[in-house]
Amino acid sequence: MKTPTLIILIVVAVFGAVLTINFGKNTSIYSDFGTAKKTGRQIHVVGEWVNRDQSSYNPASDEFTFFLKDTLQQVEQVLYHDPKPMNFEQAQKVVVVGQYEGEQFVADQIVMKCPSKYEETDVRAAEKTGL
Amino acid sequence: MFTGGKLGELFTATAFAAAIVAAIALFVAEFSRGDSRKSWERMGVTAFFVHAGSIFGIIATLFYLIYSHQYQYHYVWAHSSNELPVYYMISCFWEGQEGSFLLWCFWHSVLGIIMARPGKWRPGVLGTIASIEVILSSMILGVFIPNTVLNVILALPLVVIAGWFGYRLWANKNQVSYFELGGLLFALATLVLLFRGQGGFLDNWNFKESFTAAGLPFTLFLLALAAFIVVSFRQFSNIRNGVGSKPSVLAALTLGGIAVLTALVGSDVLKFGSNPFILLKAAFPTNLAYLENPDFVPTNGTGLNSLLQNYWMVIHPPTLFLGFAATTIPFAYVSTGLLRNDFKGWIKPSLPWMAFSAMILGVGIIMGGYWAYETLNFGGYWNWDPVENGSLVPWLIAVSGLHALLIYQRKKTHLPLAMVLVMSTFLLVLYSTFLTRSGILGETSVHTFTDLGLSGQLLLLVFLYLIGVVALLMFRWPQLPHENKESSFWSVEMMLLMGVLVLLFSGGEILLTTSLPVVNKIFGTNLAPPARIQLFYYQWNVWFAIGFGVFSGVAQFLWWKVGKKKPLSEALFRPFLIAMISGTAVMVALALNGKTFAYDKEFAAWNPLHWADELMLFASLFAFFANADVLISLLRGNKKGLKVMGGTVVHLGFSLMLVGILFSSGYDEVISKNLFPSELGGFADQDKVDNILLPKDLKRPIPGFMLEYTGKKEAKAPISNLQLLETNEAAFKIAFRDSAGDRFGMVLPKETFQKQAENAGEETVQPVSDVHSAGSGEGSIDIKYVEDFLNRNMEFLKPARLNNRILYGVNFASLQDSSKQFELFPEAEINEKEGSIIAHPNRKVFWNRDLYVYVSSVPAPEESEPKYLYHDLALHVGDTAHVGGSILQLTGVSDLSKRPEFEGKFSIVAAARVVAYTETDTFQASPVFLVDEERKPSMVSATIEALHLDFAFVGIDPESGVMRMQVQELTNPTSDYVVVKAISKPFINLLWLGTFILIFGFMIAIYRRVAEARLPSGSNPEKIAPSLESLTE
Repeated sequence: MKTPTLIILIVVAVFGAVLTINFGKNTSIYSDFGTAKKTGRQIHVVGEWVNRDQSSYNPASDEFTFFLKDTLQQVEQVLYHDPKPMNFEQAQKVVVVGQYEGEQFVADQIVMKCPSKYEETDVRAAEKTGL
Repeated sequence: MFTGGKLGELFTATAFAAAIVAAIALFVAEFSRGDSRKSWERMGVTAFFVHAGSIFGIIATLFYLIYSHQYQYHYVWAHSSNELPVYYMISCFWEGQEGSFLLWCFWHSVLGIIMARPGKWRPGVLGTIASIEVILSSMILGVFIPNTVLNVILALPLVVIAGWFGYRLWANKNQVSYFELGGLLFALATLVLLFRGQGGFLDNWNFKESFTAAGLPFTLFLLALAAFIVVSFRQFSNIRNGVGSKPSVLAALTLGGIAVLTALVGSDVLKFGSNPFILLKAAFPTNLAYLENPDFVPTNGTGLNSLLQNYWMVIHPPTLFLGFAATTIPFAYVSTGLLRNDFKGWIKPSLPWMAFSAMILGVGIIMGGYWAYETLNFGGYWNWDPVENGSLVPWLIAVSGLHALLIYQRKKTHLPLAMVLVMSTFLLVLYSTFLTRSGILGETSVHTFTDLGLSGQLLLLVFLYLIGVVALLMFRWPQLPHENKESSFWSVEMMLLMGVLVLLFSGGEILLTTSLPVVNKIFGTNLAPPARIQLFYYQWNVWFAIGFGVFSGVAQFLWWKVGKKKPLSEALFRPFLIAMISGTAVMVALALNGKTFAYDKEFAAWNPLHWADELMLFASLFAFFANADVLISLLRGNKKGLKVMGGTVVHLGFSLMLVGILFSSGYDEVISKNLFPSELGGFADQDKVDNILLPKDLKRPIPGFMLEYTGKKEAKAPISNLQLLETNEAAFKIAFRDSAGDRFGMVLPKETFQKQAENAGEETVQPVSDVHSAGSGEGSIDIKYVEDFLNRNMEFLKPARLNNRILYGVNFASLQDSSKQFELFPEAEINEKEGSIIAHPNRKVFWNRDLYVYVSSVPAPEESEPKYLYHDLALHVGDTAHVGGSILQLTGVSDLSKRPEFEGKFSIVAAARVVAYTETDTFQASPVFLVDEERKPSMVSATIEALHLDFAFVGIDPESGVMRMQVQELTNPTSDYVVVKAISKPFINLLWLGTFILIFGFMIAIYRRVAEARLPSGSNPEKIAPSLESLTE
């Protein structure tokens, strides 16, 4: 085999190997609070925002806390070191990426799954809200 | 009545039918000779023009419906509103899926018209475009066929076909024909599909379950689709070689048609596409509004997403889609070349198109990034969102394909690689369309479209072309030239090849990560993207950036044959040295400013590879100086250098972009951190407080600046363009522009219109219904009068910005020199109902950095109402009391009743002296209690603004001498505040500058390659691209 071809093959093989290993090491999982507590790992918890009136943002300490009900119906308080994300109210599902720090679940990132405009079914909505 | 919607639907049907005719006729022409070819080709081209005309017709119709506010149509209702300015109406096309498919069709039509010039490539190339248009225009058909009827219709011929193929197989068992085998398999599979029961096409299938009851139909379908395409190609080539039979081709085509139909069968109905002309009533037939009034038509739409109301959003999607559509052209050339066994002729005409699509796609991506930077609040221009990645990956592969084409141009090697890459680019465009529009990304991306029931159709599009490409390559592979000349590692083709590899690796890594939801779907796994996704992408791509720097620098020298005159190492020494010196200088400068040289400090602490940052800096600088070196030599050598410098300029621009990206993303710094965070009371984790609270009129120091929130920016008089939007019994809705040109709107209730005017202290305004007006009947309004009224009362009325957009003034004064200051106006859109905001950043551009600010939180509407606490105090002189955070002392009361101004009018005039002590300050207030001659008490209150206390002296108990005091404490004094985040982004201008240079370079390169493609075949394009040696000598 010619040297350049060999080099390319080696490079490709190394890339493939590193990608596989690195990928396996870095990918997170979609799970629940129980698993997060058990493993202490940084994971994605999919859930629903509950007890909405008990959530609050403290502008002085820059902390937003809210309650999330995961897929196993467990409700936990989530702490987020940023203001309430945009479109948080509209989200049907909330994915929090984070881990337990002691007894407190801390979210590093919040992803909202919002309903599309296509699911807007109240044809008179625009009339009611005025301008 | 013949309405606009009906016209649109007519255009849609025509476009779809014409695309089918064009595709079939052009492919028949491709495989015919002589007169027959000519007549088929004429028919195909005409049909394509009809298709293109219809697409333009659809777009014109839809635009007219939006323009004339015809809200009886769902698309118009869902994506526009009365308030939408005309220039943003065009953005309505890309808020909805249907519209964005239209946009894609539009560019294919335009490019198709360009490709319709007579030439030997026309039938195959235009035919390929038409074939894609068949599927794309089917996306907007919106046809429903109940499953049951369809099953019967489809099942009968399928049974017949299956039987026929079975018989043929049995009859010719000595010589098994793949065609018949495939046909049988296919007919059976489609039969299964027809009766497979509930569930979407995509939903029930994953790899693990491919042979269970739920998964089997899809598996069979895939196998059958593959068989069909392989068989079809075989038949095509047989015809070319004069051995095939036309009926068998027709049979294969019929089967393909049935495959398309059956693949789309949903759970209950067959749905072809989503009709943009569907009536609102048809979309929501059971809505209460229609039960009450069948002829209900909304008077306003739900409006266009405000994020799309931005000029970048008017030009970014069309640019991106032009880039997508342009990748079709090289794909069409290479597939036609493969079909006709012409393996080399396609390269010359493809090259300019490949460069064009790489340029336009690149520009589109950067525009999207710039839009995000300007209007979104995630703090940057790139977020590694799956939607962004979906356009980046095709671009990376397009660029690698472009380099593979250049390798072939120069060295006549690696032709198969070029073919695979050009085809992959197109396939990746299809795949990323599937990703962003099928709803599969749901949990990993915030801004994808949700499924419109098109996922099956989209999946079909991907598989059809994927299998087609694989089959075509499979058949031609043995015939392709596989020259593999011996060459050293430091040769131009090796360097280009390494560049191609770098791009492929980068694309592959991003594609794999972005495709995790698809991986989950196929393998039934539950993998989530890496938790720190930005860092993950960075860790990988920093190495690819380093690779780019090294290989592009070296390759440019080799390409222009610099290494031949003197050793390569000697030629490269100069740029290497300059890069080392300047890179070290930058690092020293950073170190002197106390900056850690690492993208992510936490990452750097444990990962030994954090020096990748330094490497990337050196590599990008090396690429810059090496390319600059080559460029200077080129321009110095010869006038022709100008013509051929395109590639060098592109690399120069790209290396600048990389430096800009490294600094603006790797060394950005959140500066909205309070320097003296005493008011936090020590309970917050200081490092994590990235957003600073700015109460109105209080100053807060942050690194480099003193911040002050100066208040909301209100509308300014005089107003203009006053429009009456709507009238009802109680109120008028009006809209106007203020003197700064910003658009405001308000509801003027007929009643309060009068009252407000009175309260404002203006002369009494008559009730509006009584005002003499130009219009007639109830609810008319005198526009001139209202304009006058608004101009006089603007301060008082505080009209809302349309879409409730509010600008918050934040003043930045330099800490070193407070005379140096500027004000920024980040914007927030307030949704009053939800209390949520959508923030739009504002920024100050310095030569060496951007200061980027956005509003991250504002008080909820109910919070901004003042809240008071009342304290009733009974004090003797000298007594103290605790109120709020301060200590009050009544230090004395003086009798002022003998003063001449009170003498004879008041019997008691008592002025109390109240002193308020806080930890640091002392304040005084003098509330006064008065009793007049008729024994009527009154009082004059006094306020200590700084403590938000208001004192009222309400009485004196004559017997005990106790003074009664009422203190009103404002408990939410920070009710007008704003929380902002400010980020400093160093050297972001290099990114934009690099982009312009890149575009400029691409233009030169395209100009050159177009000129080459026009040269008669056989002439050597390298003749007009002389080597540097011949240039310099």
